[in-house]
Amino acid sequence: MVTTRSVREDILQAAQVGVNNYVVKPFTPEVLKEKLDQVSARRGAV
Amino acid sequence: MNEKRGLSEALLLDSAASLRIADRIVRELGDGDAVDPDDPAGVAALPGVLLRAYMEIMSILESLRRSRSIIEKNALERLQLTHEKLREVSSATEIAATDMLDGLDRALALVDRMDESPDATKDTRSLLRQELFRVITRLQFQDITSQQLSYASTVLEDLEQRLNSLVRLIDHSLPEEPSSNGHAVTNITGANFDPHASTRNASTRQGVADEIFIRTES
Repeated sequence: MVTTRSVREDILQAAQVGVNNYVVKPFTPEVLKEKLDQVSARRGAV
Repeated sequence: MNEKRGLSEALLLDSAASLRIADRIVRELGDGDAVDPDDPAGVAALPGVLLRAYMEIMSILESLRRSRSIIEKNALERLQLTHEKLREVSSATEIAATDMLDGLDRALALVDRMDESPDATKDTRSLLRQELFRVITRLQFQDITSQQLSYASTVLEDLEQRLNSLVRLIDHSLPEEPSSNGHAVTNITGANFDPHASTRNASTRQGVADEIFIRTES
């Protein structure tokens, strides 16, 4: 999930509804790549 | 903040109700039906009627005094926050525009380098790709600043509605209008924009998100 919302309650709600990763805007390409790698690694592990 | 808004709205409603009662009493006195000067019983009732009108007017003044200070404080806090948001929009726009111009300048220099030596190295192409990526990244400011502007606009519409309520309190012959532009005023808490959207401290906020997600996973 890529969003401007970064209040703790919003992040907790996203985690509770099953969002698999959370990227806060504005993000750098490095952060985006790191998150995509994490998601890929998790998918690969399944 | 919402609690204060509720309180000021309740005080405004109280004042409006008191004004209606006072208005009715004054109209009754003006009509001459309430007190018949030839009727001793009617004249005897006059001090009571005047006392009621006086009490209602005192109650209105008290409500207005209380609501004024609450509305003043509430409006001041929200206007200060709006002012900060608008300053952030201005600064974010300026920084993003400068960074994009610098990035495009560096990208052009890299293209020149590639023109000069046709066997440009993989490194040059990689540097060019990074510069273009940075420009794309910088464009994220638009989404954030548009949300900040929506927040500022909602606060101004809300304040406009409050001022209209105050004006209607004094002159209730004015028509009911949600706002001058005809659009219903959006409640900030239920709005479809993020009132906390910011271009600042992104890495700290990302850290908070990562921490929550790590804790949720474990």
